Amino acid sequence: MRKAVMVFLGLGLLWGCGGGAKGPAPTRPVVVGIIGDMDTTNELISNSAFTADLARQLYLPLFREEPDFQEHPPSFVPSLAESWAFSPDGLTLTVKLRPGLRWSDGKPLTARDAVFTHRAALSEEVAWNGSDAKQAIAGIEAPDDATLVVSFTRRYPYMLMDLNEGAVLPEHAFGRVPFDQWRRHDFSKERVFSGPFALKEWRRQETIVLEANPAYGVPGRPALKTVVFRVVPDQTALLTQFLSHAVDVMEMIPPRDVEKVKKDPEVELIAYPDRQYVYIAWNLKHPFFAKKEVRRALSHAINCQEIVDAVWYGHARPAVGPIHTSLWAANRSLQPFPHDPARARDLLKAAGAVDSDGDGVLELGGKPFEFEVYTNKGNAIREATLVMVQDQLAKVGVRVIPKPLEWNVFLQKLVARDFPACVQGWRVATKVDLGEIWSTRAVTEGLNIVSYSNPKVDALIERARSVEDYRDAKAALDEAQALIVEDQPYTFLYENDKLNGLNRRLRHTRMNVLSSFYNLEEWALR
Amino acid sequence: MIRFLLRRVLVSLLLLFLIVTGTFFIIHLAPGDPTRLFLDPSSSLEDQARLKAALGLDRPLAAQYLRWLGQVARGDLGTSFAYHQSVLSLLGETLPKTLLLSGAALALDFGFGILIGVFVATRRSRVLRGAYHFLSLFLYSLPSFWFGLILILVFAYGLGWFPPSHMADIGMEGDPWNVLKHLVLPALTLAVPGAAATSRFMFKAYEEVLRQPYILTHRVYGLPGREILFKYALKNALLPIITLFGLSLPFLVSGALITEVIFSWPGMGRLTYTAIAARDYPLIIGASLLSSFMVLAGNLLADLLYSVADPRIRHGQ
Repeated sequence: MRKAVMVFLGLGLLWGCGGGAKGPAPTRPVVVGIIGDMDTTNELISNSAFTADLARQLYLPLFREEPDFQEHPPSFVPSLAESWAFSPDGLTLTVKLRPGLRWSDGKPLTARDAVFTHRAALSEEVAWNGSDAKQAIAGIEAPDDATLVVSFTRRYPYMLMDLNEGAVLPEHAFGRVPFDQWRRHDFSKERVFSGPFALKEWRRQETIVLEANPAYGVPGRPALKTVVFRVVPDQTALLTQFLSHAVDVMEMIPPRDVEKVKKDPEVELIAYPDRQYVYIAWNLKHPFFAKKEVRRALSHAINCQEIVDAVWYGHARPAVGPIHTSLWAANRSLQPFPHDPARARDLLKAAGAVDSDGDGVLELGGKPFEFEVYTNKGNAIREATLVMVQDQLAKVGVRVIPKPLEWNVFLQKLVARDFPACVQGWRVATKVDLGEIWSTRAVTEGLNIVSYSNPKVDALIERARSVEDYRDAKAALDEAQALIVEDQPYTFLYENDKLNGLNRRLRHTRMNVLSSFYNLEEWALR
Repeated sequence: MIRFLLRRVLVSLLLLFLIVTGTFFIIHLAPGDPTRLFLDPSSSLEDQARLKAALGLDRPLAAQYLRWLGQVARGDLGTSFAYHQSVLSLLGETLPKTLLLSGAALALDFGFGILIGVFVATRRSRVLRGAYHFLSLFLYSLPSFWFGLILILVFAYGLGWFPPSHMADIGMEGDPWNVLKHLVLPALTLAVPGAAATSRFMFKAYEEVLRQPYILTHRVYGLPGREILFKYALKNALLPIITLFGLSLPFLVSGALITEVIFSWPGMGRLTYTAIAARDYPLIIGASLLSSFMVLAGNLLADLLYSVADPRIRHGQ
């Protein structure tokens, strides 16, 4: 045994002399640490946001969306398309592709590939997640290799955005697989790409290696020859690797660890408002939350700033309403709901909530004012938020029972509208449509999980949807937001920052709310 | 012996069928609809219906089960919902990695456990025994998620002796020496608490055997102490360890989940974990089938080893 122990320690010492894991090697490629793996290289059958992000590096769309949605809907710049123009009636769009576009295998990339992609996007067998975006597209044709003609059923502000959903896929490679086989096919075997990078190697749950695509047809060759995405499923382990400089990029640094990142001179923190807001949803079907006064009282009793400071360490702001404040459609005249416990008590009293037995908990409708609040288990920030809400509401005599649930169970409860209240978050799209969450129709066919129904809001949503100019939509959306905030079906808690870590050996990075890898082709090493 | 073996194999096959059938129905009854997870939350009922049809989930459960049985009979475990790849190839990719990690851990566990148990049992020092009892209990009670992180902090980031994660450095996947370096910390994370337990079993069993009259008889006959300890006592003391080993074999495929996550080890445990979270039915059932097979094969192997070690069992006494 003594020998065995000595051999074991000897191996350790031997490896110790080799330098071990400290410090990056001079030729080490750029390594991006990721929590979860990609699921496929075909965006149309993917169910992961990360895959969609990565797919943008492999397959280009017609246009590139710009992160300039603060004052107007996002604008677009050329990508595969060189130019485009609408017909005088605004219903037909003619897109000219860049000349000489080629796939990574040398085959020409033509307008027929875009037509094929559109057909796949609408295929029932493919069952693409985003096919709703194509509803207003009446037809799409390729009169020649470089021209695409798209006809729409109506004029609206998001015509380019909807056409652009889903990158153009290679017909000569993907078309060999029948649509009804797509969900069973491993598309990573089809190594044909149009993006700045090509997939060189994919070791599932280990590494995704991208290499610069020599056939990339858009001006500006990728500066990096290789980018490695390294799967590190544990967030603590990933942060440790980032701080030891084994990993160059880490997305979503936990707020409690921001100070550690700031103290390291070799890395920097990139913080920007994320496109999501977190709220407490009050189920209006529950007898406690049917009255507007009660919901407003609960919102007055919750101190969002205190939650932001304690849970997000200041890397968030109290939320205002149902449209994220970074979007052009947000009603700028609205303010965060004021924290006013005295007003909360008055409203609760007016609603008939009294502590008749003196136990510190109010009674409402003859029952103790206590209820469960669900959230998804494992999300430490939301669980901490819930505990703070519990404490704040206890001060006005309302007892909250926190109930974290496994994600699948939680999701099922939301879909079935089977919950009293929950702490949840919405990630908002740059295509603004309040109808998905706030219309009466969405109670049965959408995300109106609290069963909110206000005919005035319904009418304003329809008006915003039907107008051609976004400025006209803005007026209707402003009014709808004010009404929703007045009704407080949610307590809008906070809008947080996205906190990314970046090693300073990288330059020219432009991480933004559309993607952390928005301009990956421009990234370079110092 | 052959009849015994045949009977055990048949019972094992029946058990395997029952386990997998149970898993099939239980996983379908678990809350959470995979189509809800794969679709945008705002997707319509039509979208869900389309996806259900595409995944074959639109049929009655019994029909899905019969279809799945037919596939298994043809050697096809289906296609993973989440990875869009055949379950067999996914398991084939990840199983050897898990076997490598768990196999190394089991070898260290039993190798060191037996050695330490025998060493302490043959020593009379009260100080040594006291220290051993304290240390073995302490090591046995270490939670793997904590112990793994401590090993990473000390040996990877502190001393820089071993890499903190993954199975190989980038671009070094084919280098066995590199893989061995990466294997050390996760294997130790799994092996140390196990070795502490094994050594306690071994210590107790060995002490018991040393008190047996036949050992005393050997001593009286003047047999050399080393021969008594290692030829006669050790063989009998190993019997409970063989049982323990058989019971530990399922761990080869199922025991490394947390360690695989902490060390980013791309094994089957992690794959199964993500499959469960994603309600990836074909992959969950495929992994269950494989795990159950390993458990039953492990138990069968333990029975065989036991019958080899103890002739009374071989002869049905």
